[in-house]
Amino acid sequence: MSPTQGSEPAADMTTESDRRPAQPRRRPERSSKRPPPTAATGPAGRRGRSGRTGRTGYGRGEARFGMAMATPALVVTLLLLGYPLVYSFWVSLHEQTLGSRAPARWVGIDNYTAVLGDPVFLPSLTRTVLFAAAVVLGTLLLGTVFALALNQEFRGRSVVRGVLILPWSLSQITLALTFGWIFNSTFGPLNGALQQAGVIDKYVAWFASGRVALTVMAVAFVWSLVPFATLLILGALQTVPEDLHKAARIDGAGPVRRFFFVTLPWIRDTVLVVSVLALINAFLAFALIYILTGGGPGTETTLLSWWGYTTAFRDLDLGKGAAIFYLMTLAMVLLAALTALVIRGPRRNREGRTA
Amino acid sequence: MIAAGDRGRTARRIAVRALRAGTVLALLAWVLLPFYFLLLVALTSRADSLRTPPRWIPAMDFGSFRKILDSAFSSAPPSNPSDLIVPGMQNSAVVAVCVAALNIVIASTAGYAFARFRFPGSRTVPGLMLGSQLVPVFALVVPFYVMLHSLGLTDTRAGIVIAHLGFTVPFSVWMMRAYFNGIPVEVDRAAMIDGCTRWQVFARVVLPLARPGIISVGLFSFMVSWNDFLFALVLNSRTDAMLIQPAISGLYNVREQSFGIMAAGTLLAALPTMLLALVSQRFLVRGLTSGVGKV
Repeated sequence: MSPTQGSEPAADMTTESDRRPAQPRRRPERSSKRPPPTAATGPAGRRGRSGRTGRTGYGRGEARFGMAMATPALVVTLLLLGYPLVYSFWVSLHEQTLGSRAPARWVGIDNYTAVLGDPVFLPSLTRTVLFAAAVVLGTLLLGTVFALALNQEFRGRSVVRGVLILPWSLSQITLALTFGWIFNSTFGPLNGALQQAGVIDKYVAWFASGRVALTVMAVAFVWSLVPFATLLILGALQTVPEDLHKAARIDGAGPVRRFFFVTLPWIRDTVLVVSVLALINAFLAFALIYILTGGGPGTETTLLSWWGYTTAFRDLDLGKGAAIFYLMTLAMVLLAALTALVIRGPRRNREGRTA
Repeated sequence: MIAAGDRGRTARRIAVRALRAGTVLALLAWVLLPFYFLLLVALTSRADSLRTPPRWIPAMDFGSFRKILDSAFSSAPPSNPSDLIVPGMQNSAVVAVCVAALNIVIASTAGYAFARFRFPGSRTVPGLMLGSQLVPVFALVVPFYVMLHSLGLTDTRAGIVIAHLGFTVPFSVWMMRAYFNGIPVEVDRAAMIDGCTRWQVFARVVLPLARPGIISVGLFSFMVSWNDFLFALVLNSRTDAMLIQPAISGLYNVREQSFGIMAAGTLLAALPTMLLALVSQRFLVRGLTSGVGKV
């Protein structure tokens, strides 16, 4: 179920999507792919460390001690994560109504075909993907701009960095209530400010149209994600060696080209992490819809997460709800793999050529 | 010629500084304005909050906060959504503290095991645990409901603690392992030579060194648990076991349209995580990047 099989999840994610197009070249590619992630983790990478563990020469008893120490976590993970996942897959293959005493009835892939054939499916998939793309791009763009601005010394920088953590610490419900109030159509401060500034004549009903409501929700999400993205990207920026920039400047590269050809390749892994985090968060946008639109008007703001929730817990169709969540996971993993491919792709190709 | 070039360079430097100052100000406005709007209406009387255009300076009317906090001292059964906020915070505090404590115990032992020992699965399992972050929690809701219902644990705080463990422990293990990886094995060996048993090496020598990691794991799992809405909503239908997120979700669209109460409740509910994040952002950022940064 989980997309990551090895100890290098991102690398394996790219492998998975590579697999089909590049079948014959799979083996050499795999071996050439192992080094980059290790190199990316820096000089104190995992490889060196596990080697050291090996040299300590722990005997059989030590392995048993390790297993004993790991057991509680393994039990919790298997029982509270592994089993529920398998169970919900089982549910997705059955017809089951929440709260009814009737035994589940095996229906095979009927739930999945029902989901795929549902007129709600394709529009809400498209909406989810567009929503996620907007959130990821907005977060990356603003996070990078803000991180570049913070990457220089100035007075009060630590204070600015300090407040950055605040939006990240909020729950989705808090986020929804905050932005629901700001964008409130009758008394909200945004309408008031825009009217006083003369931008609008009449208060705007932001949640009356699906497209506008989704944009507002994407803005709320980007708001909550950007500060943390800024902190992550800032951390990466501070590891870019000064010499690289100096050399590029001597070669006559201006600030823009230095950013794209020196800075950006250097922080590529962080950009990937930020993207995947934003992607996961965007897919889990549920509380916002719960509070702000209820999926409407009509189904105009129904994202996959909301559709799955209402199918399982309002229409009480557990099987179909579980099927929606599985397809949603699939879409998310594919998008994450695609993101990894886009962000890491060029570098891997270059290495493939030299190998 | 030279003077003109100098002047051009100075002008450009000033422009760059202005641009940077503008960006920083924009960042501050971006982060703080929503909080300001929330505080504004929270500190406004009910009549004033329905004014158009709104007031832009807080009226320092603490009526909304008082109304919410007063319910903590009344023994009457809750009659308004706002009466559920204080009990909700108490319930959430119990749940989140339990989740954090269990995470610390389970993840520090397992993190140490995965960082130091080789046994079947010791190299693949941590990656799987990180990968499990990709699983949408929605996929877990249905099974948890069925499981906890059959155990009679729905509508209890213990049931929600169990559910929260399922999606916090794997990531906590990953984070702790990253921390232990950063502590040289030589420390363990020196302690062994000094006559410590395996357990003593862990509990007395290495664990104290990993205190920043432990704090990160505790904070992280506390915040995830406190902020969870979905499980708190689905696994509990009793008002006296209601957690904070469902409690404040009831403040939206209440018929009385008391935006002051809504904003005050939202701020109160967010206060613990905001304070924790401010006080300990060093640990959080480092912990999360050490965990995720190695993807």
